Amino acid sequence: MRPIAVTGLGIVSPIGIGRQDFWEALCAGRSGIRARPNVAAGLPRLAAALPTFAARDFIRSPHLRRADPVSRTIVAAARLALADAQLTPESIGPERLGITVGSVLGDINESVEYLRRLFTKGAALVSPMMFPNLVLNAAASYTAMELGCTGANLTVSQGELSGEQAIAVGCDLIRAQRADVVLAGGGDTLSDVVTATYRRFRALSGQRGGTEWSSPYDAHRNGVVLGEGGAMLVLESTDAARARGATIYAEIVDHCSFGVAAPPYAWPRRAAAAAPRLRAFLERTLPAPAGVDLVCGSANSSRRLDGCEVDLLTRVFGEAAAGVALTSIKGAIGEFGAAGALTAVAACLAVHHRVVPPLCNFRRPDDGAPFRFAQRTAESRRIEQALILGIARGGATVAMHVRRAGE
Amino acid sequence: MRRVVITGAGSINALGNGTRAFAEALRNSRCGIAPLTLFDASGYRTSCAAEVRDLTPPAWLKPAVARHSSRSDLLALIAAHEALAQAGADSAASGLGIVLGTTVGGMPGWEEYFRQGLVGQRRRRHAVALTLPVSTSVDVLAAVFGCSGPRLTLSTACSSGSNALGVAVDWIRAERAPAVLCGGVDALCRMTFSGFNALQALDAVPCRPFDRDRAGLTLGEGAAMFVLEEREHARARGARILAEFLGYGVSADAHHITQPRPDGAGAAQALQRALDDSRVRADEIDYVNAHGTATPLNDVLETRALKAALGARAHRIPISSTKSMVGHCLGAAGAIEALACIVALREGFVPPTLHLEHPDPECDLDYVPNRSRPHAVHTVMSNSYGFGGNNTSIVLRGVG
Repeated sequence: MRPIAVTGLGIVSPIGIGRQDFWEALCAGRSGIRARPNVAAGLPRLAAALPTFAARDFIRSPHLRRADPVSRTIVAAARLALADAQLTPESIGPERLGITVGSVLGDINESVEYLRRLFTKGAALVSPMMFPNLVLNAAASYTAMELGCTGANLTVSQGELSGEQAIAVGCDLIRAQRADVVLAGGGDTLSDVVTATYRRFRALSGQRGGTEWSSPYDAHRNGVVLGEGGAMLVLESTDAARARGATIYAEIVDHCSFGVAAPPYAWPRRAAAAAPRLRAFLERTLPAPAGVDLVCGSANSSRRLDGCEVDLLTRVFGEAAAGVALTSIKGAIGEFGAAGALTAVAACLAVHHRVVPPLCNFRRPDDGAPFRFAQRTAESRRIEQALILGIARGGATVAMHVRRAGE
Repeated sequence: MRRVVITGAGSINALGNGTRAFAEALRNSRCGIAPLTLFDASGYRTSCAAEVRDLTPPAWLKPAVARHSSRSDLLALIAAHEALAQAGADSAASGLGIVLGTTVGGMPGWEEYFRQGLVGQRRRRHAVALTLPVSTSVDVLAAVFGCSGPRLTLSTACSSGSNALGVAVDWIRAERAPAVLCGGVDALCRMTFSGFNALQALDAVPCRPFDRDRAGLTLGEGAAMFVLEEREHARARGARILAEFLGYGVSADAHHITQPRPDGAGAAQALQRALDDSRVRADEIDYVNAHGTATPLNDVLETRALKAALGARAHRIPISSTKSMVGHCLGAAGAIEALACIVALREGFVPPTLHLEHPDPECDLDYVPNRSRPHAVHTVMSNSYGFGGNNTSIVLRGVG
């Protein structure tokens, strides 16, 4: 499988806008999780909300006025990523620039407001201006309009793996020569209806007792804190990136995706079925079986997902686990559908800077978990090979092998 | 390059349940459009819709799954069950992948759940809230059929179904899965019905693609699912091959969030990319299943795009819009129309464009008006264009 170079990173996150701010905040162990105002007593109050940012710096006025907040986030992330890669649509050739966006619900707040008007005021009074923003591919379409790029344009969704899957599809578009450069990533937003669903099924931190917080992989983790944001990565062939002298943050060597049995709406209880699949992938893609230095997981501070991930990785790495650093950035950015796009950014920067991003609020792992868990401060470490791992409710699993680019 | 074949197909839409019923309806030029019964259509420009009547959970589906399934889930499950049975593939054994194109997912049930909340209804089925994400149907399919391969949902508005097939082709070519269950599904709901109504995109009468007096689309619902596999994989297990999937092409208009580029350049680019990907010349194309939504803009730009990409060939081949029979099924449309192409390849006729009474001088190709036509075809295309300017074309070829 031909490796794909990551040469640009655009991030709009609760802990910072742009690659540098995001990475500094992440390494400083800062969390974007805050108490939200106007939350009724007795309900979970924490969330990782986006700071206000100047969308007009990234998106031109006719689109700025119409685009929903999720679309603005993704357009801004795309512009930041292209600038970071020192590319323009013209330098690439607009017909060879593709876009893949992952999202679970798009701008669900727009859908809710639309339905509220439909059901309270009637069909005659809904706005034709709102409807176009309700389609999941609105963000990818605004991005194409903003950049004038006519290459392949796909919007994908796969629960909490939507960001990883968009990047995987983006890599495959380049490998299949359907595009030369792909902007790939995703975004999702905080919303009352999603919060209500998590709350209804008692999945939020603090709902089953204990302090409300997010502490992925920690023994005392007690549920999810929700977040929002978006990230876009510039993907191109390694040869093209080298030829133009680009900074290559990391190379995506290959990915694999498979399903394990799980109820459609819950994380799998056991990881036994996934272990041989992941092991086979690593044997295929890595130079040496024990070669993974860092795993950036999707752990979100829930009892089940974090436990399932550690179980899977323990089965796969066996005795080598003690030498594998393990981290998750959800304690900083919260959990949302496309959070995996930000996890991928963190993994690329981790191999680039040779730094293990910290685990927010981490004290100690579950008994017997053998990994070298990231600490609450960043740690410099020799990182050559990293693994991005994601498990979604419903049992879909993605693994992506990322390596440090050759000198 | 590894070759991709279709070994199973399944279908449910307003024309009936099953691929046999669909093929017979196409041959008999039957229209599935009728007054809407799923919800109250008063206050809308039209009550015309291509609805799946009397949709009930199939007997083979476990009651616990049926109880939690959204309307989209049920449509997808029924079509997938038929496709897998026809392919004779063991869904659990082979790492079967799944790619589904959809735009509304569980919205039909969720919007009612939301309305109940608005009016303060005490007893609501809160499990409905879990079915909202568009990727839920893929997880339901994987759980029911025991699929352990990669899964993905494509949501590119009205080209979702075609793009789902395209991604499945790329997965097989790249050896990411030996076989993929893929297709499209969408169910009628108030959100989309009211949205197209507000955009004044719905015709008051059953839609009239390529007609001078066309005034918009008619919404429909349904699902079409296929089993795609690598050709040698299919041969080795002695599977019957329905058609070969030669390739696809995808482009973006980068023009407007709802309106297509009037010059058809984006659509022509997708057609050209599909021909290139398939290594097929324009003069090999025997039939095109058009996107043909019957909006004033689409049918003109699509005609221009076909002339630009196929040249003189566009004037010599039949082109039709089966949306005049089955409605515009949004995320399912591309998959349903791929099935119409397979029917044309296998049964020696081309389906018609219904309600085409008054030719439009700007739409001057052979749209097979009103009656299906006996006509042998070997290599066919299907176009799908979505909101936001997402254009996709696919190329299929008959076997033998």
